[in-house]
Amino acid sequence: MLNTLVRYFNLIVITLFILLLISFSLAYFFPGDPYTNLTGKMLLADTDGPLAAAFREGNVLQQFWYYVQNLTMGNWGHSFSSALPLYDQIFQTLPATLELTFYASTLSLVIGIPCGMLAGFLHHKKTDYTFMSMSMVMVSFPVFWLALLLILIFSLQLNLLPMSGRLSLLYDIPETSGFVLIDIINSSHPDRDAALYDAIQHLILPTIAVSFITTAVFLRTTRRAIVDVMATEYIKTAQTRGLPFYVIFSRHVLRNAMLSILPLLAIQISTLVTNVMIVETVFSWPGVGHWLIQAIYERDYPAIRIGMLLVSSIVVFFAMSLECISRLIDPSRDNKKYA
Amino acid sequence: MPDVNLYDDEFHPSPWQSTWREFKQSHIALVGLTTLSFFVVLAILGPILTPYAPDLQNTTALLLPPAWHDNGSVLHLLGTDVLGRDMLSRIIYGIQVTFGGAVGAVLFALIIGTAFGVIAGMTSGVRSSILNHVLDTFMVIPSLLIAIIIVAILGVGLSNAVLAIGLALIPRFVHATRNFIKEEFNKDYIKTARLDGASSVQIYFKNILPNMIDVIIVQGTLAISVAILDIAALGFLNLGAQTLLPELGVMISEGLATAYIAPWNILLPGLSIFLMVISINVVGDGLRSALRNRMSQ
Amino acid sequence: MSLGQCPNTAYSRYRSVAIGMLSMFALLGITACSDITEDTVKQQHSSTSGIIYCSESNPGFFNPQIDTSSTTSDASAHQIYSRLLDFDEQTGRIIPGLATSWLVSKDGLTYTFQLRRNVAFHTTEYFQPSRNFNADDVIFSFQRWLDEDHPYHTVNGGLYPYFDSLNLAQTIKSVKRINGYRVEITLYQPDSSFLANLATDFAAILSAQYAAYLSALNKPGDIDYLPIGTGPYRFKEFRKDQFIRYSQHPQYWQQTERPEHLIFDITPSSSLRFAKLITGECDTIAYPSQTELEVMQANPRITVQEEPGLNIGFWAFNTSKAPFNDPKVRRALALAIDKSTILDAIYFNSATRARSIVPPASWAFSPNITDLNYNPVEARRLLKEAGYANGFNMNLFAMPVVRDYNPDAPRMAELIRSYLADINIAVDIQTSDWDKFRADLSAGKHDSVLIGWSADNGDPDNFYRPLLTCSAIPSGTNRAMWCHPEFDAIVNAAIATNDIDERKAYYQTANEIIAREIPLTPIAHAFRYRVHNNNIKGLTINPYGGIRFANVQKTPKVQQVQKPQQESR
Repeated sequence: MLNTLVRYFNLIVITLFILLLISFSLAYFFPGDPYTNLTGKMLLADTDGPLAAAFREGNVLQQFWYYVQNLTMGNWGHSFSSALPLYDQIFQTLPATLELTFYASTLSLVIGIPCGMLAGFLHHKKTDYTFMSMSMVMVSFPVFWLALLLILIFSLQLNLLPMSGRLSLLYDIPETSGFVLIDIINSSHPDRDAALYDAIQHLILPTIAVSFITTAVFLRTTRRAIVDVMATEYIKTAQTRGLPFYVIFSRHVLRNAMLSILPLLAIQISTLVTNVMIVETVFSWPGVGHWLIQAIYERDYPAIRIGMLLVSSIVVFFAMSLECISRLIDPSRDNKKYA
Repeated sequence: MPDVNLYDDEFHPSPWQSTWREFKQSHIALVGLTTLSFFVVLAILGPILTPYAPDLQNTTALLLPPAWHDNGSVLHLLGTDVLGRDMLSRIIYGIQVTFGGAVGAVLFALIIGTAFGVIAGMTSGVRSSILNHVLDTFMVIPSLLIAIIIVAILGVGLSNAVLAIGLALIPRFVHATRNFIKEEFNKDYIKTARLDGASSVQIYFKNILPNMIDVIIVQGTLAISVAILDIAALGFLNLGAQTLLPELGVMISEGLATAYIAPWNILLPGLSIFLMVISINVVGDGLRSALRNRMSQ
Repeated sequence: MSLGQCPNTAYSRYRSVAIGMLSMFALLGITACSDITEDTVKQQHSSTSGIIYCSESNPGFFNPQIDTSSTTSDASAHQIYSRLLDFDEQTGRIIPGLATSWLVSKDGLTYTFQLRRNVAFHTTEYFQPSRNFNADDVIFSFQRWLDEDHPYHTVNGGLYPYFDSLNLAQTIKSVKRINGYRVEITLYQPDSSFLANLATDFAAILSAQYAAYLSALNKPGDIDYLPIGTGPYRFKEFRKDQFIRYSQHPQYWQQTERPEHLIFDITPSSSLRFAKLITGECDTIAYPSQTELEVMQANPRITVQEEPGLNIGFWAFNTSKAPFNDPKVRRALALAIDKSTILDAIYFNSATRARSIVPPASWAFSPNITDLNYNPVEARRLLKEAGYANGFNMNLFAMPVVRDYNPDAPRMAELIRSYLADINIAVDIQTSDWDKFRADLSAGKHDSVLIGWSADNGDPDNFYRPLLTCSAIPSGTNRAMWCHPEFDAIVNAAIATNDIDERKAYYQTANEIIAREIPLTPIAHAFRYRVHNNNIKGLTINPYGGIRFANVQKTPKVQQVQKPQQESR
């Protein structure tokens, strides 16, 4: 157990280090001056810090060292387009993305996994086929087109739900945590309830757009895992012994199926994040994706560098944690060789 | 002495034939294959089939609705866009651009990914470990981020989008190839070959490569659908193909300006992406289960 | 493949789960639907009373003195600041602002302004003023751009493009404080457009006390980012690409009814602004797209106002570059495009065809100037004559933003490209983001550009001087880079006199020169539109500059029953 934890901790550290290296080298790959690409545009340019000195000397190792040091001190550079510190900008936008991702993935899990199990148990039955064809249709949707359709139908035609942002701008809710629902609940705004209602309305369409595709993927993954597990000898043995269904399900199927589902879910995180970023742009959701895509239009290299580093670090962290959990619950883990 | 007719009683299909027999069992898969072939034909013969040039502006017929609509015209079956360009022609060209781009990206990823996968699968120890770690890192970077970085370095354009998507697809081929080789090397027939004194390289070319083709084809088919979605998404975000190129995602983003008064300008290109992707997914899925069924026989 | 005895039980078990999930969805649907009734209730609260304006872009600064971009002046000029003088929106006459009255000396050289008392500056989180507006603030606001040695002159760039393009710093001799509430401005030579210039968006009055406070903090740059003015709204927060938040200035010197909040929701895409207006997420929007105007007019909840605009959309040639320094080539290019089609396809006929740079509504308009009609044959002949029988390659810069005078420059550029292909000219269309675009133009990287101009005041000088005089080249409003001494002399002579007929004659000649030389091809004078939801009152089209929210109110309830606007345009 401890062994696995340490191993995965190491893995995460190594991966983060690789990401740091990539983000540092991006400053050299992007057009323009590497030092400016790292620090960005400031009103008063910092010309006498150790990082600037390292750039004058041309010592790449030192540059990297001081770059990492600056990052850990929260000195992430400044945006080209607004000259504001990137650290503040990231923490203004990141919670919005995490929030949307959280709700969308929860919704997908809650719908996708039970439906997948149902389909798996009813393998080659009508329900299974229905679920499979439905999910096939759902995964084939281009996410941005789906988001546009939702807007066309629910916002423009039916006038039911708002189509942009995460809260009507009339509600001036102070941002403490950055998660809009929590902020509203904690605020002392006179129209707190109305604001909460408004925020939930803003959440519905983006959440559906993101989870539509993810749900289908979860469904298919779960179904496959269940079908595979149900076909194994030990389940058949259990069935011939006449064990009741819920015993077989809870003791054998669930755990074994989860083992093969979890790593696959880990891979899905990066797709999920891509979809969230696209949906953010369509719904003007003030998250990291929207911000990053704006940054690329404006060729804001420091913002792209830090955004890439942060988003991929978060994705790495979650993906690796999922894999780590699946290893931890894997009864055969001691027999497996690790890479 | 030997009876030549002995084996003729039983029909021994080749692996491909038996895959096809399994594939045919599923009607949905056949429908998917037909649709896909239709799109492939459109993509290849596009320039011959289109009634108009994709950028020909008919200023007398701006924002014409499709022909089945009351105000539609048979001259423009799917209507026209805000510059009076024929939607049908643009969509056919768009299929060519989007589909072609996706195939390009997948071929690029397939060649490089398989090569790396073979190296990763046939090495072991520290080298393999480092390779795998770097690979896993790249695998989790969302494809949109890779595309953003490529665009930041090289600028926008269809070829850069294809490159970015190709790069983002490489890890899945490496992964599939590596796992397949690792598994296959543990099988008994390989051990037999080893005992006969075959070298790793010989085993690879004689035994593994022929078996690997199935895996790569299935992966490749599914990758094309991912690539189509990504190319269209990049086009839509103005990070891929540019306005002058009739790419389906670009067309949707152009159609946004008139989404309310001319929704067909975003519905129709989106629908063609959707149909293209779903037919590929159906075929890929059918192929996968056909292979699985063949193996289990 | 069978699961033994289990499937039946499993099936029923999971069916109930599925039913449960379905009912969950139904619940979601119900919550979504019940909103409509509550929506009307929530707007009655005063703490959330506010107007949301969907604007098109980020302002560069919150000070119109240092940026001619209309986004900047929309976000600051009439919301945050006041001017010495204002335009009456209906008649265009000059009316008192922060100056209650003014005197002009007989020789037209000395202007004396009597200032308004008890005008309070904004009290905000970042600055609390201790005194009211007085002559020092006027002196500071003028000296900042007049005096190159002023400590604030070089803050945030040191460029004052509007004043530079009019050469005002060379017109004004001195700005003197007579007493706390009286200021005297002396000119070198008489200028009949001087008072009009003081009433434009750009002549905002800043706080001298705030400037001194920022100097003490050693943060002078903040003056244009965290603004302090005397306007109806005070600045609260700006988040790039997202929103600008203002709150009411309680001690505004004019008595107006206005809500607690004003919010600019920054929405660059015009289709998105339109969609937000339909869904009610915006109360009013900037630059409605011409294609959608009919839909908006048909919508009973939306009011569309229309007025001919004092603007000009044109295609300017970079006359400092060959072959565009040759008038024959410029004429050929102008003949090669079909303006009527462009008016149809881009403006959807919500514009009048332009013959010269001033619109027909201006008294400087010459009706007898002949317009160039589409004639590719003549164009080819002229090109041959100029020695370009085989054509050439050129670039065409297309403005990336929407303006009244050109709602969709990139699309217009595509039309022009196909026209020019007919006369063997290959066009490379270039667009980039607005800041880079303007920087490239100022650097003269363009061969030709699709851009335009909206007048800031009713005086025709506001067209001729910034668009085509020599001194407007460095200040970046003369995009044709055209310097014609004869034309300059005429434009200068025209403002040295107050006699309208005499001025008219000068501008007549100026129009003839433009028609002969064609430094730019005038394309259209677009109508101006203001669209808003019916619950917004008091929003008018301001012919001279940016949007004003000082008198705009929002009725608390969405009134569904209102007569649709029947009259056609």
